[in-house]
Amino acid sequence: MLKIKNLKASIEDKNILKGLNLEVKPGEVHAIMGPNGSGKSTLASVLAGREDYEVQAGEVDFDSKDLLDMSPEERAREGLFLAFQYPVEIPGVSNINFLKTAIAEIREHRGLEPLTAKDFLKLVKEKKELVELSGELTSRSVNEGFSGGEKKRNEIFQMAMLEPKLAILDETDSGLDIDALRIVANGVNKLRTKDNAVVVITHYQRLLDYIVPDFVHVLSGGKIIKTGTKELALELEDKGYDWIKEEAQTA
Amino acid sequence: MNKQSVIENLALDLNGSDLNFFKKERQYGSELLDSIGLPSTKDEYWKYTRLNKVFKKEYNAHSEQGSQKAREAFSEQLIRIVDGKWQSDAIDTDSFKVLALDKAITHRAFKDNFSKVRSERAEFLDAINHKNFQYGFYIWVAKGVDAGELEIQEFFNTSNKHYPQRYLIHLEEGAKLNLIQRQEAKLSNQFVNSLAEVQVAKDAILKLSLVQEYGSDSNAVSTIYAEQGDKSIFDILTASLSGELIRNNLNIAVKGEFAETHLNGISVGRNEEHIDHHTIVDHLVPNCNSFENYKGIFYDKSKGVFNGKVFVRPDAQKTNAFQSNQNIVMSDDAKVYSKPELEIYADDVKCSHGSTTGQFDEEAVFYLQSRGIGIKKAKAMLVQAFLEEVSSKVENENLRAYLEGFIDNKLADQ
Amino acid sequence: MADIYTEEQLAKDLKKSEYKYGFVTDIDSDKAPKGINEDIIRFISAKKKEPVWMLEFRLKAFAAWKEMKEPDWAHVNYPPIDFQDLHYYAAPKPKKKYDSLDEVDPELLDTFKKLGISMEEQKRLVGVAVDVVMDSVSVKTTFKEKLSELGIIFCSMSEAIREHPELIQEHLATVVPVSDNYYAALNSAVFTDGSFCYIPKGVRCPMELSTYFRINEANTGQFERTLVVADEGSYVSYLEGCTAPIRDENQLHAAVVELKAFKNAEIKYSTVQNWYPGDENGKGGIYNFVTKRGICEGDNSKISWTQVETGSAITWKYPSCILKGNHSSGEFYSVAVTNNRQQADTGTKMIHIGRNTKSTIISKGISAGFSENSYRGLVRMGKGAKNGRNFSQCDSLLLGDKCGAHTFPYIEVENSSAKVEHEATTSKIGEDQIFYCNQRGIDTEKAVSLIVNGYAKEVLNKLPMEFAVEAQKLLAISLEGSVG
Repeated sequence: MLKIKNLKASIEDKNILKGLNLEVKPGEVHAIMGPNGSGKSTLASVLAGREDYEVQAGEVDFDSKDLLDMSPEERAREGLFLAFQYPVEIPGVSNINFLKTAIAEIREHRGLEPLTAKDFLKLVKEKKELVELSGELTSRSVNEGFSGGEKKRNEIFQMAMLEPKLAILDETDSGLDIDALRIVANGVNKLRTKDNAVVVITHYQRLLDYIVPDFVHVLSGGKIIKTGTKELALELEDKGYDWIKEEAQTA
Repeated sequence: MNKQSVIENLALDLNGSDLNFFKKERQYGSELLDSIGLPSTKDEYWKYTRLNKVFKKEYNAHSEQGSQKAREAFSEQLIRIVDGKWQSDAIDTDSFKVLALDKAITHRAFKDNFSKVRSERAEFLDAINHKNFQYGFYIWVAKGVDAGELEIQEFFNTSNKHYPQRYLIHLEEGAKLNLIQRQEAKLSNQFVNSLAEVQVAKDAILKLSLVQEYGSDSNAVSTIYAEQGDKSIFDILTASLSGELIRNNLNIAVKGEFAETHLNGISVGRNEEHIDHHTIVDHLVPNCNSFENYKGIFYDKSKGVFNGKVFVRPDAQKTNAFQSNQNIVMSDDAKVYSKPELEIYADDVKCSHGSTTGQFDEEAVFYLQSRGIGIKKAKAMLVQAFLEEVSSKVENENLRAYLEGFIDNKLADQ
Repeated sequence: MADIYTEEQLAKDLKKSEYKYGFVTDIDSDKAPKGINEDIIRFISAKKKEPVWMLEFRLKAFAAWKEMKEPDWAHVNYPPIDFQDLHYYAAPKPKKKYDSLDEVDPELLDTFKKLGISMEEQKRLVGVAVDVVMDSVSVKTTFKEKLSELGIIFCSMSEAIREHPELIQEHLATVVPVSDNYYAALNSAVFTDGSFCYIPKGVRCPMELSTYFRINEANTGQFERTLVVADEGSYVSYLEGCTAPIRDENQLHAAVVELKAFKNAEIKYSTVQNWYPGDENGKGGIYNFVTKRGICEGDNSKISWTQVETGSAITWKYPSCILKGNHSSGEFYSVAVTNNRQQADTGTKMIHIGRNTKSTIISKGISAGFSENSYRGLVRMGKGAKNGRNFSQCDSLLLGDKCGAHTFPYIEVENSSAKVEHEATTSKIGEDQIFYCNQRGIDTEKAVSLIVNGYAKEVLNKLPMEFAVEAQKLLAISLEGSVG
């Protein structure tokens, strides 16, 4: 589904991604770990289409389409979802209204009939259970006055509503306590099918106890320097990142 | 009212003791006076403040010296000036200078910076000052020097007199100064007309506390033109505690990036006092922050006026400007006129202002009463609490205690 | 029913030779010659068959106007208006009659479609002959019958002057005196028409008076005069304006609206205005200088102004409330959008005179392009306004860095029990917010529209429902092309 070849990206003249390669197939869960500053958030931002970042080289293939050529909303409509690390607040725009608009746009793009108000509300009711989001929160303005945990759950709620092909979770676990973590992970797991895929970007191994990855990649110095299975994550937990960096250097 | 007679009334006889250096300045004042009319309430700038009272008094006639009461110093470094005569030694080192105007003219920085500000609006009282200034001082802090804390006590000790006062404060790059400026004019029919130029260069920090105490028939108009350079901080507190009419004009041009401007004010109006604060913060460049907090409490038949303008020019992106004016009206005959203004020409900014005028929260009064506190004391406590937000920011303990004591004592019988 | 002198009849009359009035008339012309003087005023009054007292009213106003000076407002720039170069009387240009919508300018139709205006409505607005003439006439008749059953008077100002002179004489110019301001004086001298509405004691007007109004010919005179009087215990919701863009070759619009609410009465006055704002360079737009004032004459009365302003090259209006009755309340809800080179200087005045009065001001300004949007408000608590309460929230949203948003609130408090709270914030739409929407599949233009509507929601909610939907769309259209 996703093929990243030799991706090089920079921001404000600083090179961050220096030739990243990654392949994600439907049904898979990939974890991307790495020390601070390694380029994890940059990868998420570049895939989502943030203009601040300049792509200098490389290709990104999303279901045989050139992802880099699309505007951010086109990528979303094609089925790419980014769960933000710091979801922004949009006062005055209710969660419901926001999602209604987004779903309408996405369905139109896919040639589907728009949802009736009744079906839409049914969907909201169903999906908010997944992340235990109260009705009160869904009717508030997008993220306004939400706690950290609520914001992250709201991201997953949106993911459930929009049913993307590929979801990128950018440090979704940061700032969450154990209970919130469990709820968020649970939600993500319930959304997995054999046709969609998830890329989990995380600093800590903890989340991966709940969202068990098929592949673990270590991102360092703007490249993926090691790929392994979930055991790799545990090894990192134990030994830190330095040994991998050394390994990569000697290789 | 005849402009010429007002000009004559406010004129000072210089007794031929004037310095050549100042002659150009006085000439400029005279020329300006030819072209400007008297301020009137038809002018938006003076809409709520009538200067008739001030212009009608007879200055220079029947003046009497008062007996000077010594005031306790707030600060260790103190300079006391009575009717323009320095009672303390001036400070004159290579890193820090506090001099009388006539002694200052030998200093390069004074010569370069004196009277450099030309405001956009031509103000009558500015012009009077340009022409007649006599009292005042010059403060200079050298590059990178922390001059610590300084207190200047100015006593105006002659009744029926117009005091055109002028001062220049110049902080070089990275300099620091905490200045407490106390002005007292407690005799009859005095008019202190102050004009100041303040330059806070790159990385410099100036904290200024103005304590204004004037007599029940004395008036003061204080105009400050300030400029800030990159990364500088200018923090000014104006405590207007008594006077028949006090008008403060604060004009700050924020010319450097990443600069911070803090304007705070405390006004206490009693009897028929009239206190007017006009502030202008002009954000010309990006990335600056300004905070303004003026609080006033008005008793009896007093009148409070607040007009705070914040300009954010087209280039001043990422400006944060916050302004707050809160007033408590304690009697039915007291009046408050508040006009916080925003003129915004850049879009990536965060600006807000708020103004509230009202009384104390009745719940709060009742709560204190229910704990056995009499209503007078309860209100006094609430006044204290109200003004405390501003007074608590004062660094000098003595000054802070003085302000809090003033509020307590003077207002106990209200 | 007396013969109402219509504009069409006047046009016909003008076509005849008018030597005794000293006009040299071109047979094809349908305008009075340019300029304003006593003769023209007499002519207007005579043609409208106005009673003598009305002519005197006009002449007094004209005399007052001649003594006044044109106001000079900060923040509003426009080339000087030559008052002698305007036509003060013109029969409305008969709307071009099309046979079908296909003949109409497609851009105009596109706008109608975006606004969700029905086909029938479109036809009417554009001048296509409505197929089922009977329908609109019968609807009109039904409403008129219903209203007259209740004793509600709703008619044109011209009709009111002739049919209900006692009411007009009693109330006209009592809220906005003739000499109140330059444009009010001008309007008083030369107003050609407008609306009059009277709701009798205890009557609740059963419909939005807009509904009725839209069936009528949307007559856009340049000097309209409106008077709404709600007698004790009555209620009326009046809606003026139209979201469809109205072009008019008359550049200057100086209307006067007076509202009077007696004891326990309520008037809700909503305006949606989309006058032609001029081209991208601001040329040719309409100057909208309006004096709107309401007086809460009786105890417990209430007046609320709600407006959505997106048009005009220059807007100058301050709908105001004079809170005279004890326990009376005034409200002002406004969304003002300026784009391209528009200039708006609007706001409100709440004058508290009686005891326990209340006022609420919610003003949302949106600036884009090279426009200037200023809020100018006055909240005055007079000496007698004990326990007066005011809350004001004036926000500005800036789209782009070439426009300006300004706030000038005047707060005057003269007693110790009044409470005034004023807050203002200025912000912009964050790039992060737009990107967030993009990532959820919403394109930038739609995202801006979503956020702007969220921003203006508080005000839009106050509009009668049918207009709220159109107003939302109108906001989106007026900001088209402003982000990017």
